Amino acid sequence: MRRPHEPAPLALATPAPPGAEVRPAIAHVGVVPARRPARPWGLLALSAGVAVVLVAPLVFLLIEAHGAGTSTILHLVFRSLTASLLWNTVRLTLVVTVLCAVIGTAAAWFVERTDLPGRPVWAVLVVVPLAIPDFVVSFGWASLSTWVQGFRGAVLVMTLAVYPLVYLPVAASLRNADPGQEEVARSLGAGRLATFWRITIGQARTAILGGCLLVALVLLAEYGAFEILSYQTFTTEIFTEFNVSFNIPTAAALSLVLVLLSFVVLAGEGLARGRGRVSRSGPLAQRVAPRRRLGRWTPAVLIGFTVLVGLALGVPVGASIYWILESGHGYLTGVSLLDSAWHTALYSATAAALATMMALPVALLAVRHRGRAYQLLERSTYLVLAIPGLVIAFALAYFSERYANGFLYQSAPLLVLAYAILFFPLALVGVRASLAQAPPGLEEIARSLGRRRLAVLWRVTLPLVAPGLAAAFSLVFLSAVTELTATLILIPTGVQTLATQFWAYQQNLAYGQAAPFALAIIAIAALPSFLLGRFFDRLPARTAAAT
Amino acid sequence: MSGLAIDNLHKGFGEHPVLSGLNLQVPAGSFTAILGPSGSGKTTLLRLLAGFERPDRGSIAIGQRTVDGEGIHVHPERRRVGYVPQEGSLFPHLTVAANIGFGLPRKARRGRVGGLLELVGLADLGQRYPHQLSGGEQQRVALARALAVDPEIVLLDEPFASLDAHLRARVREEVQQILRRSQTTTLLVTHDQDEALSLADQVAVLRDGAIVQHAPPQHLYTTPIDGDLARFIGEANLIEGLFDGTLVETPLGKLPAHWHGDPAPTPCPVIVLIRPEQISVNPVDDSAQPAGRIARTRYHGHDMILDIQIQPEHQPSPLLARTLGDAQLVPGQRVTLGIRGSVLVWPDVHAVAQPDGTPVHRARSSPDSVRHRREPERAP
Repeated sequence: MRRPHEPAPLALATPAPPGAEVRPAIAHVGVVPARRPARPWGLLALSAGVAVVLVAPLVFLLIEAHGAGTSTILHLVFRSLTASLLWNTVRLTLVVTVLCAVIGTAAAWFVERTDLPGRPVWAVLVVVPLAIPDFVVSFGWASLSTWVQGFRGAVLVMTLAVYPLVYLPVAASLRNADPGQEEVARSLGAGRLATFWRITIGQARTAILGGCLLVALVLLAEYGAFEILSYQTFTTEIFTEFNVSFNIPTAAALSLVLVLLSFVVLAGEGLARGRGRVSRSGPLAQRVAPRRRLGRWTPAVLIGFTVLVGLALGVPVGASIYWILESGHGYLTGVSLLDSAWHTALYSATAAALATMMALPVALLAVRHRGRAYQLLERSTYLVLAIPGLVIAFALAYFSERYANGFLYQSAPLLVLAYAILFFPLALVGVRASLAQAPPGLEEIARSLGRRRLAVLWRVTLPLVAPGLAAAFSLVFLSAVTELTATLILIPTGVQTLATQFWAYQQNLAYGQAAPFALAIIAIAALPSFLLGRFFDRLPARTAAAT
Repeated sequence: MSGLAIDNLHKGFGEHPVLSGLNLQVPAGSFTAILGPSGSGKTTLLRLLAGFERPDRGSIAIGQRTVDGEGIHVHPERRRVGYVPQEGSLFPHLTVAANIGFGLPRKARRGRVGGLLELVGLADLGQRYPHQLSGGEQQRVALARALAVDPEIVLLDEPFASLDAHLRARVREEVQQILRRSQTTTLLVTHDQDEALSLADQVAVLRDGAIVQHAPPQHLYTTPIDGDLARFIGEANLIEGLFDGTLVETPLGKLPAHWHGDPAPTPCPVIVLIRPEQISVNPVDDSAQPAGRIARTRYHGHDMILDIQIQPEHQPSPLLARTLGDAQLVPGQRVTLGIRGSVLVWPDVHAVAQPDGTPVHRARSSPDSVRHRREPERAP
């Protein structure tokens, strides 16, 4: 069989056009230069298509900004409002990120490395807040006390809502770290504390930084929680400009600054990560690190965990239940609850499937085919991380309205596409981690046993990465269910999802009617969270840390 | 009939050539070992044969069919090559039976898989998953999976390297018997000379990207083409001598010698190969002149390796001698040496002629110069 890009034998007779490869002519003499490995054209085309879709919102944004005129944009950017937004956004991001790093790492260390009583239960309870949307946490607190407002409210609420993003990768990394390294450090004369700082934290560093990166990006993109707490950031301002005042140039200008901030965060994480590699010598040891005895500290740590879970989980859930009971009669929201739950599930599942399918070719290309171009292509898809959901929604909406005659504007496909773009990096992480673990030798053997490429993909590769595909699906599904900002902008007319209906009631201060929707979101999001916990449990540290 | 014919095979990665003009003919149904040090291109050769890589130049024919050549590249799935990699690489998501049946059409699976399970002695384990098997069992499943598609040739890529020492010998034996029974042409790649010599009918030595010698194991051991090869496939003493056509004069006396290849001009400076087991070591009695002194002993249970220091002015590095493990010999003891059988000699290409015309060995500063020198390659 010839490969498609090999010159056909017939072509040898005709003189090669200028600039064409001269290989065929030489081949006749029998001196063939070293062949390049076959290029995976199909995968390349698919991945390039995915990359184009992903980068599209950024391009749209630039087009919008360009349309508004450079001087207008500059004028809008350099004014006192921008400075105050910048100050609000940056100080909140810094404080919450540091708090999350401390709480997440400490919780992970206690669960993974000490004899804390009830560890399996804590391991679940500590992660569950991930299933509670930030705006629900915010609602829970703000509806109970007026003290929770502004900066202090935002710090409290966001820390409680997003610290699991640090906990998860750090716990996976601690669990899989080579305990031998700590033992060697002790035997080389390092004390307990020194060993903890230099080895334990060192091993978990990549994971901690990865978690902090996610926290910072979430904070930059958050809208609902801050709106409830009356805390003004770039995102809330952009939302107001776009959705309320229809002031497109201002929204575009502020979006540019926000995207720039995200790039700064991404670059900062890259620099902090440095060249250090967390590796273990030899194969993954079956040996588990010995657990530190807490002894007389046990009660204090237990109280700490109880308080953490109580604040992060108990307050939002408790507040929702309280408001349902408080309203007493209940507005018989049954029908609209079911209807919006159906739409939430439908859009989220479709987006999850789409994002997972988009991630597969990119991951295959990056993991199975070595080459700078392929890696660059994969990297380019991570650009999406720096684009907040609001900006993606805003870019897609504006573009479809302005340049596509409103085609697809406020339609289900556009919302699903926005979700898929927004959460693509999450899908890629899941698929990639699984694929990196599946030995490529298996695919070669399958081929030498007489199976064609597609059959091998179907019968060997896909079953091997199935857990990763499931994880990718769950991750995107979970994120889409709890998404509010982009949904508010792109939701099809006349349709409500759980999040938008909750938001509508909440805006009207109808807490009793909003609360059942909050609980429904938590219930739908809980299952994927649980599955994800299982997936990350089994993943070796180096792949988990790559999040 | 030829099982495998490789002609002038070239393969490089970037600027780095791995195989340069490799030729190899393997008879159908034979068990051939490719023996080479790590980095000699063994795995690259197997991957080329399996079709995972494309050669830069040259041709490969498996059975009667050219699978790589001018304008030809048969894809792996059409080669009918059974590939058994080092770790077995079973599909972890499939049972043993499904692994073995992977390459078979659905209809053929039922009957054929049972027969193969029996062939590899795992009839009861068809429904197990790979992680429930021992290392040796995994290797046998990998072999059955490769044999299932009725391959023209089976390629074994250091399949025993990952097994424990005590398991290795048994699995080797089993694999060899299974392959003999199936009468499939087999190519085993290994860096372990013991494995190659004990398993294969034919051993081909891969060095610098080409086959330097291809011969039955015994012939290879007794008549390697040069000193490096002699050392690679076993322990060897290489000493200098002067060959007169039948005898060679050495620091150990005049020894009967044989010469491989073209008739030699005589007298001729030569390198002499003496295997350690050719040397008999006797404690000295008063009447005889001692030939040397035991510098060191290494005890291996079944035998013992002795370092024997002889006339330092002629032979600075000690000679290795192998004796039975029960010999009562200790370091420092004076001994006499006897040489059993005929020794192999090669011309010493580094010898230079003296003014009077007698060729002598070039002075050497270090005994290691023998070891590091490359002899010109000759066809086996």
